[in-house]
Amino acid sequence: MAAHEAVTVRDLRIVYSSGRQATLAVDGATLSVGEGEFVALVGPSGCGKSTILKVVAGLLAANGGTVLVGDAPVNGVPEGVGMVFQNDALLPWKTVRDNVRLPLALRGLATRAQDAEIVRLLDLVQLTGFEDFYPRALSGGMRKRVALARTLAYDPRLFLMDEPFGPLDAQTRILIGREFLAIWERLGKSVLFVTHDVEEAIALADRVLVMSARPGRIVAEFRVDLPRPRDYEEVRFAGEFVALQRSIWHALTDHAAIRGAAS
Amino acid sequence: MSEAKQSPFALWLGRLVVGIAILGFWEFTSGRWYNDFWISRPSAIAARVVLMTVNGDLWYHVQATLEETVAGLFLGIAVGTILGVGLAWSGRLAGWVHPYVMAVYSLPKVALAPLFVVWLGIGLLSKIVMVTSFVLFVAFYNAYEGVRNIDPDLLDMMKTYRARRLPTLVWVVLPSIAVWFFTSLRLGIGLALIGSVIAELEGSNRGIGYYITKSGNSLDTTGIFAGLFIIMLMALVLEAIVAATERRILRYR
Repeated sequence: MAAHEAVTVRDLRIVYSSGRQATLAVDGATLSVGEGEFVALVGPSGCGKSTILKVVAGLLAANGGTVLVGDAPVNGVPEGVGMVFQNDALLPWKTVRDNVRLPLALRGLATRAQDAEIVRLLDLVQLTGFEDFYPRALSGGMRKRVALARTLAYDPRLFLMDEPFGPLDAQTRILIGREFLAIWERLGKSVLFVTHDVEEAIALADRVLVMSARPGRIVAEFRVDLPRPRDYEEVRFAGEFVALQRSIWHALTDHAAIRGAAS
Repeated sequence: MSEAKQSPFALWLGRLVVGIAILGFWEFTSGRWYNDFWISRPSAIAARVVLMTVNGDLWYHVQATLEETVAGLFLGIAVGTILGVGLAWSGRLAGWVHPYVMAVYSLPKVALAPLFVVWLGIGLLSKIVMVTSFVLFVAFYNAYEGVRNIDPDLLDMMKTYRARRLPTLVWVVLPSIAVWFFTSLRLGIGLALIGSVIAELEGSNRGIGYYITKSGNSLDTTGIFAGLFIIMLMALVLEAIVAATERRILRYR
């Protein structure tokens, strides 16, 4: 592995406890995301892939193992890490403009500079003209774009994305995926992307990691050597894409059963 | 449900018709089917309200009740909200204190009136405290529930931006509990009016509650109904003010 990784996770162990019951959610997961690399994490639902993301984001403490962002162990929320949540996590009482403003205001940027940045970002995610809308009035796809713009406003070195396109309908999913891919290919930031959609993972990522059912660990790794920039839709018909899809599906189904009871 | 489907005109026309029907029935039957001594009649009540307006009685009593209601309402909402937010954020302490708050909440506030009079006399202060005791718990519970119902994803989101306590309060916590705050305020209006009228019944020489008691003592049912009507109007006006503020602040919904 390269000397400088954006994320390093070694032998990660996470136990969920609710009341007296403790569930081993993740056991011995090891993975890394290189600088500027796009890594997708796929696995059956409940395998702990979102949990790993929360630990990397510093929102949840690990019960064992090593988690580094850059060279620093994660202890609290690390700097320069932007998260895109499954449900957008937009502030319903703020307009599109002010939702995107949030990270800029927190950073203490002057109002003028904030406004200029908002204009640029909303243009980037094609939401110009919707500045004064409240989230409630937007479609799922548009809300997703606002969430992306907000994370872009934070300008993180590492993007953590938790099934970000999950709740969207199939068509919108493709549309947003294509736009996001185009934006990312220009930015070249590191991404750890959690999804259960194998096609989405292959179309976006440099590497696809497959997780087993609970307790989750990484059971297979696939390098995606499709050339960039990619055509988000056309790439799906490439021979290599289809072959990868088949291998990943096999890896997933081989490890889909939940092993043993929790301790 | 079907209320939303009709035009505003039809809605208000319907309301007007119902109102006229009720008042008309009251006016017609009173003195014909039974002695109007018992429940007076709308025309007599209206005449009384007009008389009170002209001779200055109306404002004299309304002013006293309004002062107690508004002062007690704001005091109760403020103290209750601060306690609710504070306790919801206190973690372990909440569990310790909660049963005692419940116990005090279950007390009939009316029974506290004599205590307030002993402590604070029969002046304005004891009445404001009485009103406060009516409003405080509603505000407390709404604030408490409000904080506990903040979307955890929003708090996580703020954490990922490494936001400090104050920005989190301003961007997430306060807007989240605004809905609950306005619920307290709306419920509080009714409770505050009850509180101030009860306090005035207990001992006073001014206010709508006093006017109602005085009318009752002289078997003047028209006076009692005039007092009730005025309380109703006060509640409606206060509620309209709160509703208008709420619409402005909670525009995003």
